[in-house]
Amino acid sequence: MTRRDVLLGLTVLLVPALVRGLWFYQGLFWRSTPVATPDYETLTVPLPPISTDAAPTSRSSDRGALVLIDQTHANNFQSGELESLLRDVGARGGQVEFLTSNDSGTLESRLAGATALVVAAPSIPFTLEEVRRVEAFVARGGRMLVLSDPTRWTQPFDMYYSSTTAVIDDSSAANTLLAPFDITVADDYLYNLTTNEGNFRNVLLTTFAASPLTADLERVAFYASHSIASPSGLALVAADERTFSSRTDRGGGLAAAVLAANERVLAVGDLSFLAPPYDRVADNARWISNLADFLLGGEPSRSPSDFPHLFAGPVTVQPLGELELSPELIKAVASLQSALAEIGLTLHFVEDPELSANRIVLATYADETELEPFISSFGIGLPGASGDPLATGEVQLPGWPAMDASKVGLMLVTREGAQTTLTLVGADAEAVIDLIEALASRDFSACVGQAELAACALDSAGTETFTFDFAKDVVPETDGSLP
Amino acid sequence: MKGWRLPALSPRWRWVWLGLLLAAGIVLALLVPRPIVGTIYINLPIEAASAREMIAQIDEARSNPAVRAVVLVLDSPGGTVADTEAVYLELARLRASKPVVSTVGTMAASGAYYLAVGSDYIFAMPTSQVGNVGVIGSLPARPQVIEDVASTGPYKMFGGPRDSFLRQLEAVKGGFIQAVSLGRGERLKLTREEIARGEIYLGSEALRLGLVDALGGQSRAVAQAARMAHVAHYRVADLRELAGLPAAAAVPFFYMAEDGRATAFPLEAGLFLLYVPPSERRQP
Repeated sequence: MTRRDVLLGLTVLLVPALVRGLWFYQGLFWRSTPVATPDYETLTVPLPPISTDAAPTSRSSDRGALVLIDQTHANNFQSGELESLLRDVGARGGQVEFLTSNDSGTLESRLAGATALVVAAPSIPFTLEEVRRVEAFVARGGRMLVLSDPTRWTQPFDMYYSSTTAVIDDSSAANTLLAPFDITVADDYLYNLTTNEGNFRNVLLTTFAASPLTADLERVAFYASHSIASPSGLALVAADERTFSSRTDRGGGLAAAVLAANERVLAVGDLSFLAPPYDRVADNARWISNLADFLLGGEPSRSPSDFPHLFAGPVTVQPLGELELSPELIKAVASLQSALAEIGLTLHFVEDPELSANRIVLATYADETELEPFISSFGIGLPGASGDPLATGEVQLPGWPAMDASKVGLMLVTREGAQTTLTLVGADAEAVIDLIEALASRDFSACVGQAELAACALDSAGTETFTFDFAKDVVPETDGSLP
Repeated sequence: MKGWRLPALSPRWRWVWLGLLLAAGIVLALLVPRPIVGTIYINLPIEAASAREMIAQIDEARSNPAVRAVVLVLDSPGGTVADTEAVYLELARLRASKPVVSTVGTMAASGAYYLAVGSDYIFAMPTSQVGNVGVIGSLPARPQVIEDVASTGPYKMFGGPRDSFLRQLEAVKGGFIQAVSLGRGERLKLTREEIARGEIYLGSEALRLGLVDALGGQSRAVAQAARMAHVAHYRVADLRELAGLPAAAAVPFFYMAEDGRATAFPLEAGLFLLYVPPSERRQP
């Protein structure tokens, strides 16, 4: 067998395999670069930037400030979530009260004694009446903090029409309260995908308007926040360009907190930053302290119609001049005592009360000299000292027409620090008793109020009374049988 | 060997000998395996059982010399984080020696897209749902004392603070986005921030954005895989059968509503690379 035969034999042996191999395999798979996978070992859990600054030193408030927290609008929060804010309010000497749906007091009556109102995550819209009361409260100098939060939505079930549920954001209810103050809470949330506090919806905010509320703040963290707009207000805490609204997926010009209504109404788009552990992230502790200062900074003027809530502590009754403690007067004062007792306050007779005490001063126009300290700030002209003032004299109030002193009584409220003085002045003891009864029954239908002053027409002086006949028209008398 | 000679064959025996050699050559040629493009169907949520089966198929593809390329046929909303990562890392090992191509049916969302970016080439249908890069999970309950259940630590029952859970999502998201960046490379036209939005894109839009490479179905994916492996006249085989796995059985993964319908929410708590579609509720 020749070499040629051998080569031929090998060719015959291998060619089929070669042909088959080339038929199937036309090259070799070769990867030029190794397959890269994520560097899992370097992945870390982002930690919150804990502020190294301690919360500001507490200051005490001696003005008897009362912060009222609304819980009558199906507010979607636990009171414990406000703990840090309430603690700061308390540390500053402020009091906190909750207005719950079980309270006997209405928003109106409770606002009478409050210096600030806090509304957090409401689910039920505010009525027009409530809005008007809050507007009046703010106009008098009261302060309001509205905290909304995009995580506090409700999902009522429509059992009548669609048998489905609809998500209702808390911004809807908050806007019913904030609209008169030119503030609108958007039903969105802010997010930032590049720089955030552990999650895209936890935004770090670094743009602050100049205000005591933003003093010493460099960075606050909000844990899901609505954007809030107020054309006439101040964008107190604003978001940067990379922070977007979920509604538009656009950034720029977004605020998470605005201040409006002469810096008396503050709307914040987040509530969660108040609760641990978020209250200690970034400068949140300082921001919360500033909020407490804001709440305690209001000093709403008081009017007699705020009785008994215009007092925040024990009250003394101080009759002036020759006013005798007749049985009728004692009975009337007893009704005052009952009214004050309803809100947990005591009433005592004191001849020479402490200068710092809350007082109800009872006097007649004749006690002009003793009255002077209590009415001097009002610029009131009492009936003349000469002649017979009670028969022919007139009371002069600044900007008012002259009034017959014998038929008109006055209620005057003065405040100095934590001390509140309510002065009731009438022509005689009987007039003073009428004033007390009107006050105790909170019936101011015969009074014209103007800020801290009210002038009341007195029944004993022959004031006309009104009768209401419409009830007879609406509910016809029946003999008990069915029509 | 000098002086060694094979005996001379007569012409007749010479042809017999060559015939025998040809027969032996043909037998030898038959030992050259016909290349296989293996397919792995992922049409269930990615969880422990389904991931285990996927990994078995990937092992088969890696160890079987006839399997020259693999096609992932994806139609899944994703699944658990750890199981998805397990499959992803096994795919990476396979890709070291064999090309892997993905094709998206109805959906490759979240964890399923995580697997897709772990392949060399991605096909999608024009209306496939692709993307949803991100992590989802339900926060643990707020720690509280439950009198009848004793435990040895504040988080024994709850796993950790709610805040920690939220932050863990970010770490997991970081891995996912890295995987997308590494997998898509220069082809990706989205920024890291845009990827992190978690959007789902139609296949045609995903193509424009570089989330997939081409529009097409399984046959094109198979052809592409074969092209990358430089094989022809291949056959397509289901790796489940090659691996000797039984037919896929759906494992309860989603929570069942009272009326028996599966909801979009996982049955178990945890971290998920999962697309959870909107529930039936009216938006205001």
